[in-house]
Amino acid sequence: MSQIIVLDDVEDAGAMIKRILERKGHSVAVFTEEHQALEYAKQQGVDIAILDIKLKKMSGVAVLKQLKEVDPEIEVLMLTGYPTLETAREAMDFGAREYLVKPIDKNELEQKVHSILENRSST
Amino acid sequence: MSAKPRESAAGQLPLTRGQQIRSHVKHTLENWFFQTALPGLLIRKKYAAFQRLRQGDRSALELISRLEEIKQKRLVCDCEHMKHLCGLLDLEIQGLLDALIAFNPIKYALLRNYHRKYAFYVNLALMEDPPGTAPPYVLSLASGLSEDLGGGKAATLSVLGTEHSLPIPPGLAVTTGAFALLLQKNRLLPAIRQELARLGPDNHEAIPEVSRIIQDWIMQAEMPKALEAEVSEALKQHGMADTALALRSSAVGEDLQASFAGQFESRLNVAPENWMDTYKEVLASKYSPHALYYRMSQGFTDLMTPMAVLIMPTIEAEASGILYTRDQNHPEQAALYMVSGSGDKLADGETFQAQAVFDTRRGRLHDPGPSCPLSRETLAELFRLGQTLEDIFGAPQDVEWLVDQDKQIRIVQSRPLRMSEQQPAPVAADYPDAEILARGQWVSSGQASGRVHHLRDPGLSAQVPADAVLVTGELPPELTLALSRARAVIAEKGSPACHFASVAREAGIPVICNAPDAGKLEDGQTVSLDSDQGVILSGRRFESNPQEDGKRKPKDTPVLRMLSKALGYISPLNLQDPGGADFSIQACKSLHDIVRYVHEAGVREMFSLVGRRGLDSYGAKRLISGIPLVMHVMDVHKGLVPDAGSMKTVRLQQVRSQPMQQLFAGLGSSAVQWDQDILHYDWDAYAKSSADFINVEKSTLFSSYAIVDKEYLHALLRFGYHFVVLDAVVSPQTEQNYIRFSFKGGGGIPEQRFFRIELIRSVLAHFRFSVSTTADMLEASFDRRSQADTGTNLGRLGIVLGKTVLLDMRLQDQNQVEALAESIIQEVRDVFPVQE
Repeated sequence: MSQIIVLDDVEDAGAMIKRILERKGHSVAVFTEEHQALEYAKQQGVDIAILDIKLKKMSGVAVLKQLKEVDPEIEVLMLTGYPTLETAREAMDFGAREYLVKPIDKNELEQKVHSILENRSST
Repeated sequence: MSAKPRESAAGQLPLTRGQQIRSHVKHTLENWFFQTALPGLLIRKKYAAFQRLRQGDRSALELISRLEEIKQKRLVCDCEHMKHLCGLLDLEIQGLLDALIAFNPIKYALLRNYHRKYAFYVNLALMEDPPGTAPPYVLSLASGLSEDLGGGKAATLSVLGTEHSLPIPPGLAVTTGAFALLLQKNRLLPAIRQELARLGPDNHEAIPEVSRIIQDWIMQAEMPKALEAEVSEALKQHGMADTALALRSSAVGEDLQASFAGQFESRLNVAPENWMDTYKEVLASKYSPHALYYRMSQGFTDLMTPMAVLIMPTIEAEASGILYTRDQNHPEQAALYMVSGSGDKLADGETFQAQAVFDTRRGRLHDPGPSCPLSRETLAELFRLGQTLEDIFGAPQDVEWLVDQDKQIRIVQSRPLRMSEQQPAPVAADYPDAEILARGQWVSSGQASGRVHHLRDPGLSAQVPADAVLVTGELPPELTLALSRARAVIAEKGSPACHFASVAREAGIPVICNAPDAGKLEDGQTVSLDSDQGVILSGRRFESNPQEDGKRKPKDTPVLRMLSKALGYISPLNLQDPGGADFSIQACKSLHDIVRYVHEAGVREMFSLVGRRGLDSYGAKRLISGIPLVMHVMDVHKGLVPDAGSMKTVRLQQVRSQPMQQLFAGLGSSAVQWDQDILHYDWDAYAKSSADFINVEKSTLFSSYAIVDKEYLHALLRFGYHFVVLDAVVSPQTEQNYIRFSFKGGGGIPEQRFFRIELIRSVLAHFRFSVSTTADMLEASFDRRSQADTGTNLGRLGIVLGKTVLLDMRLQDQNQVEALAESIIQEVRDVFPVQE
């Protein structure tokens, strides 16, 4: 079981991810506000952060940078409905592990989270 | 979903949610308007959209199979060409979505999100990082430089000098960052990408032109000031500002992942003030025709093999040459090939002056003969150095060396020696009856047969005929371009110690050199050669084996890995069963799925083209068919003879629509006996109509109708009480062909309706239609079969339709259904025999 946070400015999207991943036995906290998510990561410690690219105040990539400062071990999965290669490249450069494009597919989400955790335990 | 601006890579203006809704409402109102006011126009509009769907479907499937073919056959092409094909696929799918969404904006708009998603994954799989342009632009070999910055050759030399204290020449590497800076400052990167995109698997003849264009750009490029200043300063600092220079290519990947032997240029005796032009010449050699071909055949992208350039003082050589630390044919021996003076001629495929052999097991040097320019002591030292290099790299090495005027040995280059896969060499006695036409020396192992082709100008290597056994003077690197077509190469002169030899061994092409009699072979003459035996024989003795050909190609290259990953989001077909519950937009997991879904949805939209109201009189003509069926035909494109425009009625012979003709071949066949007293129209509608008198024959409201083009038929048929919708494409494109058929309603008591449905079901199933029934509704389809099969089955369907007219009253029980089905099947087979 892993600690996962989801940060998306749309609450429904986060709720859906939470439902899917909790069924896989993970503990999932959903946020719509950047600072709350960062605060939670500082206080509780998380294994995986799932970040939407477009947020209310910051970009998902900026949150990614700050999360990596909090804990470089946090694995990050970027989430977006309107992907561009430039943003993908930037996110990968800052250490994002995976990219998930909306509409969210249950199997794809499960599989990407699974492979991140596998990689993590093998290294 | 919130109103987010779209980060669309395609450069489309983003639509806000409000705009999307307004657009939906507009489409919906438009549909409603057309449906109620102008059904004829709506049909034309939908038909046009459907035509776009059919064309787009075909192009998209072709692009998908093209990409799959490149992967499966490991075809030689540039990665930029693959990206180009993916870009075209993207455009086709966008067009498909536009066409489908025109049918029903609200129902299908979500598809765009799925398209965006998988198109992005494809692009991500093919994405490469742009090359770094940051300094340093110059590094000394003595500083221990990495391959990323200095390229393969410089990195190897640097390791030998700094970590193993072996004798290497002094030198500077102008880094890959400098190359990237030059391209960036001159804005060449996108232009080069565009040119490379032309290099598809069947466009190799464009290689020389693409090469010339890119090389010209590089030669004309302006040298970035920062780069010029840094190199000039470094030349001064390292005492090379007043001495003749040697500039050598040092590309990333060269010597390490693939040999790239001799693919790039080196220049000797360059005046120091000319270093910039020569530097550009060496850079440009990255894009020579043979270097382009070689890189693609090894499965690297352009960006994976950036070029650094080594600048060294020219060293006056007393002798120079190549050392193979292990001889291909005698693994217990090391072999040395040499010339007096500088050795570049040797590497470029000209003849060596002397050869020395060292027995590594016994530690014994064989007598090199009187022409050897070096002493036994120097030879022994060279072989010892070879052993050291083999120990350092843990593999046999191909070493370029020189001995300067002070008898000092210098290693100029060391790379892994590619050994041919050893086959049991046949002894000469294997060809006792053979006429030996010429003899020569082994260069690259193998046996092959083919027709002699004298290649006098190596610049024409790209144009040699397939199946050629090339006969050349020497073995220059340009021959690389011939490797995809030639079966073997025979050189009158040359040596096994040249760059081309390494490349030929990599490619598994047999090569023989030093065969003076090869010049006498005649063009077109069929010969065979066994390079291990060094013999050229008359006639065809060895069959070429396509599987062997396939084995020669590298199996797992960086580009193939990228393509495989991309195809993971392109190829898989998850949407299998159009009737299945999971045949939905949400189930699309690849671009192929999206194409499949759009095709199926388009067919369904056409199938429900017009409601019960029927076709009104817009352009529809009464069909005179010889059977008592009141039918109106609307031609949307070439479905009727060209001069039918002004006619009020058309005869069957004037119908050009293939599916319509096929259907009537069945309806009008001898198997169907029509009762000329019955006109087939909707009696229910007639009875319910409030008009006292309607001329049934002239009213389109009660008639059957057909919308046709050359390859398409959409028909709504009213046979007595029955109501039939039929939609079909019959074309040369198997993937596009289909028949959809549904049958509903009619009089009679429910049980009899069931018997009739059962009868039709069993007959159609016999002819390989997929049939499903619910209550008194029957649906049948026949998909993606050949033009001939689809046409024949339309004819069969015509007979079945004709024979089931007014059957209600006759069917009493299941036995009767089975007997009748059997007799109808037989009658259908009499008219349209089944090919066994």
